[in-house]
Amino acid sequence: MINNLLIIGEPATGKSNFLRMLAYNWSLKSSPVIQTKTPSKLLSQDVLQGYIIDRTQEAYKNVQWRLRYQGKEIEIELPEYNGEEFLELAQTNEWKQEWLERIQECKGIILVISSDKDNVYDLARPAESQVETKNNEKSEDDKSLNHDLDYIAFFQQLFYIKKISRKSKKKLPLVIVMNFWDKILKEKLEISPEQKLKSAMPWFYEFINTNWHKDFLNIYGISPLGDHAEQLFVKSKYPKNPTKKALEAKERFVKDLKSQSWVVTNDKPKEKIENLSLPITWLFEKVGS
Amino acid sequence: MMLYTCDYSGCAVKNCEDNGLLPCLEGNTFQDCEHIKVVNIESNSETDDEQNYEYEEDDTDFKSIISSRNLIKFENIKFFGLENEPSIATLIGLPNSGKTSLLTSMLYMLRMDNEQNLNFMGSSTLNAWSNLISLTLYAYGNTPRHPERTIDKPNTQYLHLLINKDDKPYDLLLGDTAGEIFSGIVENNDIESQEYERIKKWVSETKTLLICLDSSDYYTEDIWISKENHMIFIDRLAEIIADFNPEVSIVFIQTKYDKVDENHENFQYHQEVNDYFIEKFSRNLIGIAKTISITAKQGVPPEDIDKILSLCLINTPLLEVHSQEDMDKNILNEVTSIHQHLKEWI
Ligand SMILES: Nc1nc2c(ncn2[C@@H]2O[C@H](COP(=O)(O)OP(=O)(O)OP(=O)(O)O)[C@@H](O)[C@H]2O)c(=O)[nH]1
Ligand SMILES: Nc1nc2c(ncn2[C@@H]2O[C@H](COP(=O)(O)OP(=O)(O)OP(=O)(O)O)[C@@H](O)[C@H]2O)c(=O)[nH]1
Ligand SMILES: [Mg+2]
Ligand SMILES: [Mg+2]
Repeated sequence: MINNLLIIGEPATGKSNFLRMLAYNWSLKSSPVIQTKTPSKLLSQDVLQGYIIDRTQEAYKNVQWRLRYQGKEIEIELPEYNGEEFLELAQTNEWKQEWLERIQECKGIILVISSDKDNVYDLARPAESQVETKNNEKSEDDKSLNHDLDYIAFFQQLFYIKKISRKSKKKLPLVIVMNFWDKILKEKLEISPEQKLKSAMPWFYEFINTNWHKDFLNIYGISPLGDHAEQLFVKSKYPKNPTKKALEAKERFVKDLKSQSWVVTNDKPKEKIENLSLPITWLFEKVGS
Repeated sequence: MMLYTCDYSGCAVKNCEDNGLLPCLEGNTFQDCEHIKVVNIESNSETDDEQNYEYEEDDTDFKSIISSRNLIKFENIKFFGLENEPSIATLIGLPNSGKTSLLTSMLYMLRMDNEQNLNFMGSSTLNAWSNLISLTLYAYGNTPRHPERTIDKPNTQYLHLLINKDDKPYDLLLGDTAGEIFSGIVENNDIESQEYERIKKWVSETKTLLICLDSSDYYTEDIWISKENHMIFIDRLAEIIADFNPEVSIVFIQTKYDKVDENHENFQYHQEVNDYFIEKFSRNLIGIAKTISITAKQGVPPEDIDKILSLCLINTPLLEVHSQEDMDKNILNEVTSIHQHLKEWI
């Protein structure tokens, strides 16, 4: 039996770079995850050369990534749609056939959220402890709050399509990764991935917590590109003459594949665990159990 | 596309692909490295079997209600009652008595620690909540943040909450009325009037009435919201309830309770009105609450609001379901087929 997994996330949450780094890590001989069929996209060398991958342009093309882990066959549906598609889904109830199928078949979900998301102004917290960014003016393009509820709408719709009772405790394995955790550590913020999710998306956080069976939900902070992420560049922007910076980045990058990326847990949000696969292998273990 | 493997034991890379950009840690490019071997050839065949996930008409109706995001019409509430009767509660009170603030507080309260162990599990009216939250946040600025005056609409419409209490899920539908319809009947008791019709409809549809009286320093003799007008409001409402929903449960809510301390001068008037209220509705009264809305005391779990919600939920107990037969009996006829099709989801 093949277990399908789905990766979803808003635009520019770092999905493509995350997957690329996973593919490299799983190419290492010591990797417990074995790739049995890897889409070519994931193995091109640009990241290893010290570049980052640019935002995904093309629409979904049904690229499968076949893996084996502890005897389990796993297939990840690549999010090689651009993130806007996820937002569209979250904002409408009219889902395309291919999405319906994808949702029907998936056995587990990886949700990528940016740790850069602003904390929302929240009446449930004391006023002194928060900053009001919007200056009391409701602008048309203020979507931060709606986004929060859009995620809920997305999952409610997903329950419906998968015929999961909206009133039950969900046992669909879900891992939420708070991406770009390197920025959080750089700013020396004392916060765990779970707390970050809560302050950026309080309604969604409550929704997830109330709905999920606790054994099937996990939240991590991740940094796929690692500490030097901020010094990396998109290749197309430097086609012929990589700047000195990019070259330096490459130096630091390629030589250190195994320890490049890291993950943090909620218990020890400042302790870098040099194992990018952690959230994914957690999911692999839950899937089909 | 070819997939290669590296057989050089000193190299950490195992698999890579022939696009001239191998992730080779030895040489800098594919050409530089001599340890590469082909392992497989990626097939491009599409193994997708064309499955059809067609949704039946009934489904679409059901779906558009349950996964709708906007307010829910009364006639569609039945869709939430496929297995258990959904609770319906409606906020009633003179203009500016704090109904909409209370509604907003209910939503926030579900995210805060509360004695009744209530948690937010979902909603089929997310857009409506979203509007309410952003209005409250941004409408007029500084704390207390005022919701906008509720406008009377030709049809009764409800907000929805799926609430988890002690690990049990409950559907709750909440109606917010425009205070102006009540001032309408206080001023002019005309049973032909639009206001009267509206109140009649709200009152007869609901199971629990949440009646709000303002606790701030208001009930003087001379201003409009006087003690006398409150008495008239109570009388008219009592008549309508007796005529159209005599069994309805009532929760008496004294809103803006933070204002009570400042309310020395007219406190006796409040006392009289409150006593009158309790006497008038004693038959239907299931609870009394004193509330401070979240807009007035940000960050503090609003007291008593969890109790109010709990009363609304428990007021319509879960139906006893022992067998499939029982269950079928409980299901409204018109939606049986939908239920059959969607019972896993409900
Ligand atoms: N600080 C930091 N930034 C990162 C990291 N990974 C990616 N980024 C940044 O995030 C940007 C977006 O990354 P992508 O991987 O293209 O994001 P995506 O989710 O695939 O975006 P779409 O394809 O547009 O949906 C990159 O251009 C990087 O600047 C990381 O680990 N740390
Ligand atoms: N101090 C204080 N003010 C409150 C409280 N609850 C509401 N208010 C204020 O009372 C005013 C009216 O509140 P609303 O919630 O709009 O009243 P309403 O009953 O919905 O009014 P209508 O929609 O016109 O019927 C607003 O200015 C609120 O900020 C409270 O608990 N304490
Ligand atoms: Mg991408
Ligand atoms: Mg109102």
